[in-house]
Amino acid sequence: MKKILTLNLLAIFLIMPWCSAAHYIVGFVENAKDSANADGHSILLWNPSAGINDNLSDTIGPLGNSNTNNIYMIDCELLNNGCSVGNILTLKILNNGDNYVSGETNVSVAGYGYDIVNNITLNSPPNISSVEVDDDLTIPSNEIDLIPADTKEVTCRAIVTEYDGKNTLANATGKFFDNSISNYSATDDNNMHYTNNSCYINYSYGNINEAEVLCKFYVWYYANAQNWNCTVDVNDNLSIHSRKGDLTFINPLLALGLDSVIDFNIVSDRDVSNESKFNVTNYGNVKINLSLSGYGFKENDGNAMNCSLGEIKNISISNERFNLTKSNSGEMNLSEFGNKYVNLTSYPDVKKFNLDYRKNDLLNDAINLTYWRIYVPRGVYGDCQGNIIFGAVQAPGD
Amino acid sequence: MNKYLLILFLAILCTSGILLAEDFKEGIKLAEGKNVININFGFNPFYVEDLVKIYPEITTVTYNDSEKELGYVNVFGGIGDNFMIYPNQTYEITTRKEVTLNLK
Repeated sequence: MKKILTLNLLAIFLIMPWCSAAHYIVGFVENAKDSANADGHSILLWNPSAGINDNLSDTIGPLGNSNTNNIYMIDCELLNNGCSVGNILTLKILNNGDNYVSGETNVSVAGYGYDIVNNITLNSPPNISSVEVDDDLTIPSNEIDLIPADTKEVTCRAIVTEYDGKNTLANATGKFFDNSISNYSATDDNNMHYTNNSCYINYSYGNINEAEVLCKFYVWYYANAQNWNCTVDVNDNLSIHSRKGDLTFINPLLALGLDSVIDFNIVSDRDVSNESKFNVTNYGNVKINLSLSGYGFKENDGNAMNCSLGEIKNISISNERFNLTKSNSGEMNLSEFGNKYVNLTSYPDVKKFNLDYRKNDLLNDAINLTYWRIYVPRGVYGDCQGNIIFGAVQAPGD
Repeated sequence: MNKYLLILFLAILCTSGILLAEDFKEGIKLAEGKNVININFGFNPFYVEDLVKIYPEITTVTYNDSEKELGYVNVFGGIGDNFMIYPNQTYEITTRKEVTLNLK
């Protein structure tokens, strides 16, 4: 009797592992609609009620448990918590880096040793077939001309092919950035990086698998004159994305802004006026010097101003002088006036100013003062008016 | 006495469906559902795929040694490992209805 019991115990210990039997979850994975093969991809199984950390995986196809094309086979009893009839298990294909995944599919554990999961289709990632970036002037192509003191609308247009149906496209974003000193992931800065997080998806475009994505950017006049990259990123409803870019060039913009009038107030003849300050603003995207010239009534007349009274009625061009770097306050005699200020000329003369373009998005830091005085010669009276022509010239080394 | 009863209960619980086949040389009767069998009489080893072809009522066959599990599922034309069935090894066989195996 004792011997029989011992044998029974031995049998129990030998067979104990079989107390938790196998139960297979099997299914068929259809190749992606763009023809990518499902074989070789990994599929994950877990019981949501136990959490995804307790999971099992298999390789679809001949390299996996099934040894069969497009089929997977997982013994759910190997979960740490096992599986039993009535359990709802979830499966999904993992992203192995090629962006082919699947949505989640559920299966209910029943009897007879296995359960078949509804067919899963390998999801095709969206494919951006083309990207073009330009402004409203498409000729010449790949050039963007900014607008002084304003923004310019730049559009990135992408054509997307989505074999799972265009309606599976969930959202599109775009980045437009200076390709030389910025990058896709950089933060926004009007000089070098712009983001559009809600590009327009035109589902009416093309066939059932095509859509058009339009990303608009409003680019400021002080965006760097460089090669720029517009990259469009499209997500489908499984958060799988595709990204593609195109290059363009932002042309240099020479532009400046000025106060409207230099007012010297009342000046007696044979006196030098007080100093008048005059703002010059760089409204372009390159460092500028100034080209300066003046005239009284018409260009090259040799005068700075025409006056309404007096014997002469003209102030010679050489009597209007400026200093582009330093203020000299207070009254001034003619000699000091000559030493500390440079005379205006009738012809354009380029003067070093080195006014950099705007670099601060919050306040305009591309403004410099210029300083002006005029000497009124003997015999000039009345109201005097003249013209100063400011020109912007690209400063060397910019 | 209670100890023996407990052991007997556990034995019945864990070996329900386990058939020690020496008593069934003329046919191994498998019940609907899961069966664990250890065929301890001599026969020529054969592939599990061949077993399932002869007995299509079998849905799964599983062999588990200490290192790995081999499984065969009778679906999609037969998937999994087409392993050999040997005497004196333990296998789990699931059937969708009662079937009697006649092995030689």
